Amino acid sequence: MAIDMRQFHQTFFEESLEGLANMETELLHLEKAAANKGQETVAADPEILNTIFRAAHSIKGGSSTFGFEDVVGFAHVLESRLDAMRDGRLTPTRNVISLLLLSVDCLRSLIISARTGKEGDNNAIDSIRKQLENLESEQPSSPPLTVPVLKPPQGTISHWQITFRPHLHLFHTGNDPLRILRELDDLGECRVQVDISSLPGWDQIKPEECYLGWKIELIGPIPRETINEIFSWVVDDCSLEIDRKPMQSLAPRSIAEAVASMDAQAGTLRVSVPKVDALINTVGELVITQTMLSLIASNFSFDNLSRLFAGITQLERNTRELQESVMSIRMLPLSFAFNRLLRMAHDMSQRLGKKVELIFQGEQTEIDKTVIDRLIDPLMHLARNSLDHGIELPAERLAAGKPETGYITLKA
Amino acid sequence: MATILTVDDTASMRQMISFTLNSVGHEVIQASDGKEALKLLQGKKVDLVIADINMPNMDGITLVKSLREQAEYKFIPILVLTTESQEAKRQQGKVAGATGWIVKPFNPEQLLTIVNKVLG
Repeated sequence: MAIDMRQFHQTFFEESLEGLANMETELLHLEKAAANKGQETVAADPEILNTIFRAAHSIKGGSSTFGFEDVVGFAHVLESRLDAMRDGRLTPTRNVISLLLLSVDCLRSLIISARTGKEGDNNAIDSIRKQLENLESEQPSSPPLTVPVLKPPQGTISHWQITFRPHLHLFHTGNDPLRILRELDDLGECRVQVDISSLPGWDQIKPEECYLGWKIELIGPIPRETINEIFSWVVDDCSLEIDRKPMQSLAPRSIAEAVASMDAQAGTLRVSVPKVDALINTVGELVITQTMLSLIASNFSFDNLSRLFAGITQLERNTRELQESVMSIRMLPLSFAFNRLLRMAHDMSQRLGKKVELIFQGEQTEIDKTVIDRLIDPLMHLARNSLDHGIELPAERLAAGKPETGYITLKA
Repeated sequence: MATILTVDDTASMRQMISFTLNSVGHEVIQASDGKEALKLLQGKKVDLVIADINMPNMDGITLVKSLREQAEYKFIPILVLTTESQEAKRQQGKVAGATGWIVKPFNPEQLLTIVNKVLG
């Protein structure tokens, strides 16, 4: 989408100059009113102050939209002073009005520079800008102009858990929860669960109110600000929790990964009979649940809603159990690795003439086979070093008052 | 394609908004303040209203309030234009019933992204 912004510049210049002319007129009115009453300060008509403010405000908005930075900077300072004047924080004395009139000249010069490309008297403009800035130095200066920039998604994958409960009046703000869910879905892998617990009976439902809530799981390289941004319009019209969940290794897709990597290693795996039995049982239950859900679906009416939810809950449980069973196939007790050390210790102590005993604790702990495969070598190395350098020959041990046999303990 | 009402006392902003929305096929109705907007609408169906806050005769906040009181405009998205520093205005807009806000300055791409978002 490329739109040439230059086509709007002419209109912007014209209306800005017009706005400045109005501003000048109104400022002169203010000053005249003060002079007529012979007063130093003016009891200003709020509508006049508003008109003056609006001119500067529009110029600031337009110039930042069309990219005239010099105009933006000056208009911003002027606008914040006029805002203060409108709110009664700054009194429009004759001195102030004179300075504001000079500011109009500066802004006009800046706009003409933007239009023609010719430099104005920058020194004079700067000095007036400084005077404007110092006009109420007791007032904290307004925040610098910032242009909102949406950060692109960062590299790290986050797992977000979002609870979104709109208040009943959400539809009255013109916001649509569906739109918000759709935006979240565009960000990454999104799982949404509706919460109907606040839904009243059919006879009490008011179609203009929002009774539903949602639990959303969102996975992807998504920074928190992006999610906040999506909810920014409704944050006061709902209860909202956004939590980062620790990444789980048991995400459903890891089953496929597990199977794929087992295949890739082309090794074989010995699986205990109880594990296979558990797997078959879980699959049996899954088939039963599936049949039940098909039955509900083939003859669906709203009376069956609670049965449908019960079925889905059961499906969730089956899926989770199946996932755990499948994952556990690849889990092996650590004794698998420890036992390899036994042989090494035996061979080595014979060769060196040392007496040693390995003691294992927690060797029944199960961990993933791929991890065990990687653990074996470092463990071997550690145990070999302990035996070689940590355990003395039997005669030395006896002389030092130690038992003849040394112990190496491995704890899981 | 949608019918969109844009209300702004600044002609260049109005032109930029209409041109951008026209370029993707939306129909745009333009009004220079809240009063004119109400006069132009009179129950006519629009899909979205984009209104500036600071306007003579009738400002954006008052416009949002009176639109929300009419059945035809009770649920349509209404966006107000604010600047980064106008947190208070934004809240006033929300209280009056605005759907959300567009922060000035914005470029045509940003405008279209937000418009697509609310038109769904």
